[in-house]
Amino acid sequence: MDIENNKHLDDFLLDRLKGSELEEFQKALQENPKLSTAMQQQKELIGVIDALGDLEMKDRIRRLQKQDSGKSAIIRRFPLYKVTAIAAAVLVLLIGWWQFSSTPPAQIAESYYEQYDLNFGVRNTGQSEEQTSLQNIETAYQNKEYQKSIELLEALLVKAPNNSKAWLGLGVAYMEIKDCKQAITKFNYLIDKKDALYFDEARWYAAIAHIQIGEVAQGEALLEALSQNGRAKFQTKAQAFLAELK
Amino acid sequence: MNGNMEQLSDKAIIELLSSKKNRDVDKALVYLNKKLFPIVRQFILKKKGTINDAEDVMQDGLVAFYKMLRAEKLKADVNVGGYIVSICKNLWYRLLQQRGKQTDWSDELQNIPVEDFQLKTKMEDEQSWMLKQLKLKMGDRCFQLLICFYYDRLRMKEIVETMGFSNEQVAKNTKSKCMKKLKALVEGEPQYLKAFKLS
Repeated sequence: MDIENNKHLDDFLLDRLKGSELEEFQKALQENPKLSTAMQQQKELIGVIDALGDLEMKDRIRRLQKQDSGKSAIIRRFPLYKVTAIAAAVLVLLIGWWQFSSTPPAQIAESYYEQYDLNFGVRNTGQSEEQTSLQNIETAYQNKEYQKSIELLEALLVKAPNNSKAWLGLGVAYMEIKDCKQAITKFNYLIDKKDALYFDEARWYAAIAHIQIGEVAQGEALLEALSQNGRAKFQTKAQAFLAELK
Repeated sequence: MNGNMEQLSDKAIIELLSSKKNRDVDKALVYLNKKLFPIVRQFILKKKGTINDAEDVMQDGLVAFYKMLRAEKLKADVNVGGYIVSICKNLWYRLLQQRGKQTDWSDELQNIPVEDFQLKTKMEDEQSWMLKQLKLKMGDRCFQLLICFYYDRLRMKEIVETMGFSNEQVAKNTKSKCMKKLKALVEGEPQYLKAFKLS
């Protein structure tokens, strides 16, 4: 394929060709099967890049939303504040009664959450590249550098997709940065395959995450299952949690 | 909403979103999200949705608008806020249809402002994870370069400036190598192609 047409491929696929240049290139596509094939292949690759870009962009917006919501928590409550100010006296009494009689599910979930102690059991002597990677993950996680630990865990899972502890740690790291939705996707990986090692832990944390984002029914379903067939300590915790939710 | 928030004109928003600087783009995204999310949220909650749905649709709407802007598919005098809200409403309408929920919005369905834009529905988590794996295998520099060129649609001159290449030819050669690398990865693992072929 000649260089000129190669140069025009990107311009064509990015809708930058106009007028006679466009017509000539379209004609070349019809007359040159190799060029047409190259165009299709390039189009597929650009489609993959587009999908990657969308993911990246959505992650970026999500992060910005979270950063911004942290700064403007008071501002977000503004409309509710107006209503609260008008009914302040009545609300104080109602809140007192509400606190006495019930606690929001998300708050109950918060009280049951304990950070998972991520430990890969790496020894300091004679470390391989993988062990170094695991140690870096542990260090970042213990230093509460959760975003960094997420990136390192994602990279680890590319090479070692069956590392169940990494999946669990990744889910909990997402919970630490308050991204329960992402956390749930990681726990679901372990739940769906009934992971031999961390099935109960995954169900437990997934239940907490679901309830924290208002998906109480899904969380309760997981807790019910845990209370029936989890290991003893998870049965006890799940039963206590369910009792408080009711 | 913060009464003291700096007000940005449509022209200013478009300039920021068209910038090659990430902080400019971020500024516009934060502003638009703050300004428009309450409207989108209210709409979606009224129309059988949840807060999570509203957040997802808002993200998708902003992404769609960004891409249309970069692809120069918008008129110069576009009403940015109105346009994005229309995109979001349209997205929500389509999502409800996909979920099999009855909708009766003939009077609310706006002219679709995204005729040529392939509105992608929410990716399955597994697909999303596979694409993230692909990104890691590509390496950060290749990923950034290809995103700048094909997604952000920066010109080579701008890419040279932002990514620190010595000249345009070096940037072009690197792009070419990165495309070959991507091609090899995709051909080696066909599930990557499946991951982005959304229904």
